[in-house]
Amino acid sequence: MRNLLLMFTVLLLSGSLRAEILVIVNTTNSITALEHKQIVDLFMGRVSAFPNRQPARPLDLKAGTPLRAVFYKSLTGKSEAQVDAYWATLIFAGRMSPPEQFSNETALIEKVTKDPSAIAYVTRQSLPNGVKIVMELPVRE
Amino acid sequence: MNFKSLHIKVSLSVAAAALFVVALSSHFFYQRIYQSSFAESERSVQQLLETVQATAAIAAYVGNRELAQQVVTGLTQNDIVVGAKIVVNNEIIGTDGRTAADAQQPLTSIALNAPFDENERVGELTVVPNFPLIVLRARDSAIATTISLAAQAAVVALLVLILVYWMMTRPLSHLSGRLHRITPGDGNRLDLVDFHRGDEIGVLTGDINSLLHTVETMLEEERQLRHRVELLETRFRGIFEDSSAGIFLVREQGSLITANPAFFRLTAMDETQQENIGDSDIIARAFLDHEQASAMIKLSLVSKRPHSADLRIRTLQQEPERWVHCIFSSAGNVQQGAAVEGVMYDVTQRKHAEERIRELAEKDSLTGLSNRQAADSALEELIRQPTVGGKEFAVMLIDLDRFKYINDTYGHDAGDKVLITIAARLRKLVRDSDVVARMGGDEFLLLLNHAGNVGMVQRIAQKILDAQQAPIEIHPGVMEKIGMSIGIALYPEHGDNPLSVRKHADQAMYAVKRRGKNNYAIYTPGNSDLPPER
Repeated sequence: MRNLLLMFTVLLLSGSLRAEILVIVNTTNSITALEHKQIVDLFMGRVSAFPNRQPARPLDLKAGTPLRAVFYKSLTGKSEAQVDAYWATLIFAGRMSPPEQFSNETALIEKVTKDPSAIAYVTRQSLPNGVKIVMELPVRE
Repeated sequence: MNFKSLHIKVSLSVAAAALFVVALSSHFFYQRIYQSSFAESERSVQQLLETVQATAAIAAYVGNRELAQQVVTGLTQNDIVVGAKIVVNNEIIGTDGRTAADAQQPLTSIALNAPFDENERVGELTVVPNFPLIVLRARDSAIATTISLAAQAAVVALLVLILVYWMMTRPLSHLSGRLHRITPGDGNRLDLVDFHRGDEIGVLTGDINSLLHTVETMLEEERQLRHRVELLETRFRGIFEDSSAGIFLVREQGSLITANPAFFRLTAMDETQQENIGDSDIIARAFLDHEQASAMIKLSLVSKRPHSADLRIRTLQQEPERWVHCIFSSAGNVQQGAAVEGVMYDVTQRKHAEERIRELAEKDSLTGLSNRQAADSALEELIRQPTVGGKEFAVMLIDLDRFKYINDTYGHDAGDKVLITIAARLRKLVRDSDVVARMGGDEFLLLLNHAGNVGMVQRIAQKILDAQQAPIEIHPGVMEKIGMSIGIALYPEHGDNPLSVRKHADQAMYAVKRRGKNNYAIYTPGNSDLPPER
């Protein structure tokens, strides 16, 4: 038991040592966890609903925010510019719009606590009530 | 147009070769260009697809029909694409132009993967290439290449032709024309263009010139030699033709090879019929003594030395006998065997002169009988002569009785008449082969050949005595009978040498004289005083 506890601690420590991005939703959302691919499809506009058919509304940080670049790089392997170009292509074709952008993480968290269909990404931190983690995205350098 | 001319031959060859190369390479290059052009067009289609792949993938990923439509419309703007469509999960989200169903031709497709996950296939972009256009372009390109190739080959062939003509054919035909007009000996030479100095045409020109020089030198030498030979021949022919001696060349068998006019003149043959004489034996026709002539021909061939003799030649019937001195010598071998050269000249006059001299030397001028010298040599000859089958003869010595009386009484003319008459009688009474000679004065000698038989000799002696019974008219109207004393000696019975035979005949004759004349006596050995036979 002590050994198990020790192992958990080590894991926790190593986890805290490695930077991680947390993907969060409103606590009312019945989804408890999302897969990597599902998060990509949500954020890149392929699907507009959670797997439980509840409408989804991805929230983004403002362009130029450091976490935004890290998030997209870690999620899709593309640079921020590439992702913007992708969206530009779709916007030009019409009928598609990129996720709504917020100026900082605090604004994001606040919006998630209010909107049950929202989904957003933040750095690892102590989260307030009203949001829950559906995925911990390892940072890819 | 001369199709055998070198230039035409070269031109035709080059043209044929060029045509062959063009045909072969056209075929090859047409295929190559066509295929590469075709492949290039296909690659263009492929590249076109790759250009829009990212956008099409985004459209397929998010299922955006507007974007998909933009992509396919953009694709069909190209000439080489007549139709395009994007399919996601068997659903067409964008299509333009012709569809695969009515195209009935190979389609080109490209897979569309998720923009953020290379492993996820989200759809497919398919285009209908403008196949007729591609084929047309490939064909046009291939034809253009082929035509330019053919044009190139034609230009090169033309250039080769011009250069070959300029540098080889023309100089060669020029050379050939010049050489054709040159006759060896006229001193003309081929001229050498500086351009060809050192190359094959230059070497050829030089060689031909030196050959011409050599030929001319040889011709000149030949001409001079011929001139000298002609001169010599004229001289020798002059000698041969004008010679008074008959010169002739015959084969061993006697057929004539050639002869000069003098030969025909001497032999009284017709020169114009020389051809007709041909292979017949000219020796037999020309010589009376032809057997001797033939023998001499053979002798001269065997001994390789000249042989000469006086021979009689045939003459026309009314003409007198003619003699030639003839020299035969071997003339080496000509065609068809050994030849003999003969030279003959007329010696008839000399022969006649010799005859006269011999007659003067051997004949008694009064009676025409042999003289003493001839009788002596005939006697010696008879003894010396080797005769087969018994050599016997009789010597008869005759002395006239009463000759001195007639001579003194009637004069020398009467005496001469007696001598002439007696001589004629004696000559008539013996054979031609017997010798009858006047030894001088009124003494005669008879040599009777093959008269070994005493009885025969006695009969002849008696016949001679009997013949003297006929009187001789020594003067007109004066008849005289002349008696004679005959002494006989036999060889070899009464002597083995001329002297002793003569002496014994003489002894026998004197014995007759002593006993009363007009009789004959045969010598008796050991008894000089013979009793009369009667």
